[in-house]
Amino acid sequence: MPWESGTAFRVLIVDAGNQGRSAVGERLLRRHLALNGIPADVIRVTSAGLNADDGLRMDVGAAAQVERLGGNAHGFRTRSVSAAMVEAATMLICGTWWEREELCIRYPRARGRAFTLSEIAHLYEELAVAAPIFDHPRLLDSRLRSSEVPDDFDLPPWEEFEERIVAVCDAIDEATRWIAEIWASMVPHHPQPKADGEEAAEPTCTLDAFGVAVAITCGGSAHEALSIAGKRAWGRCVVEDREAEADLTIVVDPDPDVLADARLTGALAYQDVDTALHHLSSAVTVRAIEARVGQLIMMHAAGLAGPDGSVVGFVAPSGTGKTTLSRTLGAHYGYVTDETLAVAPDLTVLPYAKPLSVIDALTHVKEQWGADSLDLAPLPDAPLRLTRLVILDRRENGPSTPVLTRLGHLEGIAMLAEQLSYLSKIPGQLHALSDLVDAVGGLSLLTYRDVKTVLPLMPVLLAGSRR
Amino acid sequence: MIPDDALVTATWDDLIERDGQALALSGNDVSLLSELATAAVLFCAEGDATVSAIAAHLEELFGAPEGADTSAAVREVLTTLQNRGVVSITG
Repeated sequence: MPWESGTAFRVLIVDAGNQGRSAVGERLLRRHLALNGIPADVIRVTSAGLNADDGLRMDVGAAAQVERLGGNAHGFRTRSVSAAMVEAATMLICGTWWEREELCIRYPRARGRAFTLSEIAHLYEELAVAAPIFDHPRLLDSRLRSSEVPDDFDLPPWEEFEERIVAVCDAIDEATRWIAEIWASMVPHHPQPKADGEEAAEPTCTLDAFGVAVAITCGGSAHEALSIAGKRAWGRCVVEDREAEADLTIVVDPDPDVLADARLTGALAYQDVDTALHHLSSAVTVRAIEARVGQLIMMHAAGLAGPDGSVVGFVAPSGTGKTTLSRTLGAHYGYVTDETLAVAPDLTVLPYAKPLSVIDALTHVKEQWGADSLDLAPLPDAPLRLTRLVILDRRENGPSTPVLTRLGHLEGIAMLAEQLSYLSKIPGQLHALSDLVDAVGGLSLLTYRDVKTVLPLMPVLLAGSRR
Repeated sequence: MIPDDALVTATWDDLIERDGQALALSGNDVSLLSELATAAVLFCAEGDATVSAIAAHLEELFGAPEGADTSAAVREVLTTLQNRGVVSITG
């Protein structure tokens, strides 16, 4: 198993005294993770205070709020934050921006992994990230540096103390519920033990994601609707007669009790098909990435192929234009992927023609559209090989004619590294990246405003290192 | 303050160098190092070095910083490298 068994994703929630926000956050996040069927050995949540006295109980008012919101406040004791706690944490969540800043001043290694809860909730809303959760702190930090999201919740003034307490706990409950739902589709695979005599359901279909066969089992009262919509959206990835390397069960049902039961068995469970399809995309991507850790270089990039199998990779963080670019250029060039570009050491590209997440112009709801529904060009009848890597830099006030700027070798690799999954597990690590970048003739930055203007550049880009 | 005889150890997992600069990988964190930081890190990679030895080495390569104390400037660089997980400092 690529994911190191026993290596939990460790969340440390920090505030000043560890009797209020951080204590409430710890207990409510644990509750929502449990409701999503995520065991504590997969995501471990603890809390501590910057100025806490060790061993005190949770504030009485905070404990009452935890109980009101369905959590368990029993057995809580405060802890003062330490360097060892910070070092061990994968992600640090703070109550307010000044607590985050104080934490980073005292423990500089926290920087890049520390966020306020409000920031995390907003960043996930903007990002639509599809990556293993261990990559999330880096991806969220990268996004935080280039966007303005509220660092705290919108709360009543301190003079309205009681209302403020209720409001902050409601906000923590809502944010932790949302975060737990997102993490549920992207945590390392954690199969639940089957009850005696229980037989595994027959998979509804098997999907190919850059060579990884992922078996999908649909369940719930809406399983047929999910199956039909899923096969339509994932049409180009459906494969027959392949032994699955990974699997997942996804349940759609209006009954919350059915969903709760399904989550406890390790299934993803949602009330409607659209939400299920949205999370299915992340889940399949993460399962496939887990299966190829250490074997492939997997980057957050779109890929488009020319007639001879040459592939241009367009590297960019989630939410910065890869899907729009794939849709526009994919009308003319073979659609490889819009999210995760998987490349073997010999530069062979493994396609992942997943659905594209498109925002409906009228309803503003994100929908999953299959490559065939969007009439994207099929892959050429030739082996796919990476010939060019470009880092996207889309700007509202960007140039009307796209500008291609060659990046320095190390500078380019530093930018590319931010968009890789499991960089530390790639054999050769930075040396492997350096060889890849050299093999495709270096990295370039593509600055543009309107993706339509990129289309005329494609012949130049596809010529790649052959030029 | 970091003492002059504190021992500095290279802790990066991988490092590539080009044109005097370097890129260091520590865990999943990548740091782009200046020429000065690169020289300091490569010096430590040859074997643990004290802060004063690193300062002397850098002064020999780059000269003394104008209007600043070499030792203080080197401590600042080493602290940044430590915060990025590229080196550890003990003592």
